[in-house]
Amino acid sequence: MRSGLSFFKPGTSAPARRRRWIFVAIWTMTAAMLMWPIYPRFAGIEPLILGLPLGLVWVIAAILIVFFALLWLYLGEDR
Amino acid sequence: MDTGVVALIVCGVYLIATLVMGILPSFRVSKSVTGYVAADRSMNFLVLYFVLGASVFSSFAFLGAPGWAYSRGASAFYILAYGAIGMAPFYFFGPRARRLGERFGFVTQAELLTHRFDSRMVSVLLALVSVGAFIPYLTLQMKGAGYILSTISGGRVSEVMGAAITYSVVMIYVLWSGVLGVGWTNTFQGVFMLVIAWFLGLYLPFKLYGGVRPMFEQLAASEKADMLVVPGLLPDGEPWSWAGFSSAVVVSALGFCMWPHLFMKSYAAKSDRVLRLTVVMYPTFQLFLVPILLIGFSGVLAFPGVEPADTILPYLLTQLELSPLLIGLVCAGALAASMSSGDSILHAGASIGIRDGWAKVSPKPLSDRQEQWAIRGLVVALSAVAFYYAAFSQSSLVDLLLAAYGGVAQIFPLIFAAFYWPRATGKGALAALFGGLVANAIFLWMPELRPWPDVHEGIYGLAVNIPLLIGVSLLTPPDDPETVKAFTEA
Repeated sequence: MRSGLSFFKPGTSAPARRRRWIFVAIWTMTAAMLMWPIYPRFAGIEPLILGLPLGLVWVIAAILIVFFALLWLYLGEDR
Repeated sequence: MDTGVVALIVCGVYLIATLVMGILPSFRVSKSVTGYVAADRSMNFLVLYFVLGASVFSSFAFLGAPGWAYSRGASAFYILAYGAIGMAPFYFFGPRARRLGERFGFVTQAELLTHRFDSRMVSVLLALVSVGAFIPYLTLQMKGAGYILSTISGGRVSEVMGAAITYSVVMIYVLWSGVLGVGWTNTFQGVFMLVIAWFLGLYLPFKLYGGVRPMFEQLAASEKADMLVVPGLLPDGEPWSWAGFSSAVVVSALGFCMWPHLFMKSYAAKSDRVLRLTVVMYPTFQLFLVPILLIGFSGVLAFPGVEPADTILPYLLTQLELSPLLIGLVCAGALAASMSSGDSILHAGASIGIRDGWAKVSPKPLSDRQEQWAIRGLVVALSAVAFYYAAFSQSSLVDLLLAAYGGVAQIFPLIFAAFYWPRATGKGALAALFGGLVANAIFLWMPELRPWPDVHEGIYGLAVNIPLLIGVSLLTPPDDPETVKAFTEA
């Protein structure tokens, strides 16, 4: 039996695999965005964007990034 | 008419509407356990969207989150941060779990893991963790509901009475319709909550400061400006550390889609596409926490010193000259938040307790009919226990609930390994779960033992969990290749 990890079922096409890896990369970067040492650089109040403090806009941006990345992944799935 | 009376009438109408919505769908689903627990695997996008959204947003969203923003400032962004990344793994786990559920007849999370790892102990351990984590969760929802009804009625309805009335309604439709009752009511409740939250979150800053931007400008210029800088404050008013914030985000994000009542909704989905689309669209629901936080921030300068901070929303309602009808609607929205989580937890807790706990240790197998009645019995018993705590206990439930997150996160490595690591074995999984839970509990109750005091106890649990999973699995013979293949190739 294989001792490594097996992420895809047999027959998953190369483009489908690539898309998933791209998503995982985006997701990992977004997660990093919300933690030390990146978030502290964007954790302040100024500038207010659309009236909201920068630290809040940063989290909302993370939510939107994951949303659009997932949407892209979903629209590319085999029907 | 008196403000409180109008508001109470609105809440009463809301409760009756919920009851009707909850009972109607029972006529459409089969009388089997799959019907009761997983809605015959038939949920469409709209219902599933609100079930997932509403079961995540509870009393905590309407009372706890504004209170958190009000007293602890930017630390409340943590709630948005873990939600941002926490749901995405479900895009991959959910459809796999759904396909396996359809093939093998699973309706709970533990059934899936028990089948893969061929271990009754894993099942019983998961049942204990789930029911243990659900009781404080449910108690909080009841307290929230009781609090709302007692505040708006000016104490004419006591907190205990308020909790009793609200949760009698919940119990009736959960007993009657099972998960479909939860689905339809959550759709109704979800729409209601979204509308109320957006309205109030934009209206209150406008009314008190002339808009959202002026509110934050005034806050930034005040002596409270520091609270707006992430990671904000701890409950004692001291600054929260980045180690504390980051590790709490990791643990909560991993635990997020592992909550058994959320995970098992994958079995109720009609198809993989429905489930995937639900995960994709989930952030549209989640963003409703933004206006909720604005409600809390709007109180900081206008009404300093409100204690306890969790009462800031009802407090604001009573201080501003709002129409009684509006107050009633807001309170009904808050009740919706409490009930839509409470029903889901109650239903999941009872299903898991019976199927994964009792049925696994009972000497005789249960018939489908006996099982359904046992689940209903446990619905009543769980309600009674949670009600007891809500009515008579003063213990700190928020602490218990946060502790539960560290425990729930320990399920993540098992689910991951079940799907993606063929070499994982039952003994490895059992050792990992047990070790992770014990380490989590030790560092929770004895924080002085932590090597880094600020780091969340769940991280220490995972630091024991993952090496045990890998080490013990590699030291024990591989599991049955057929079963493993069914999972890794699902």
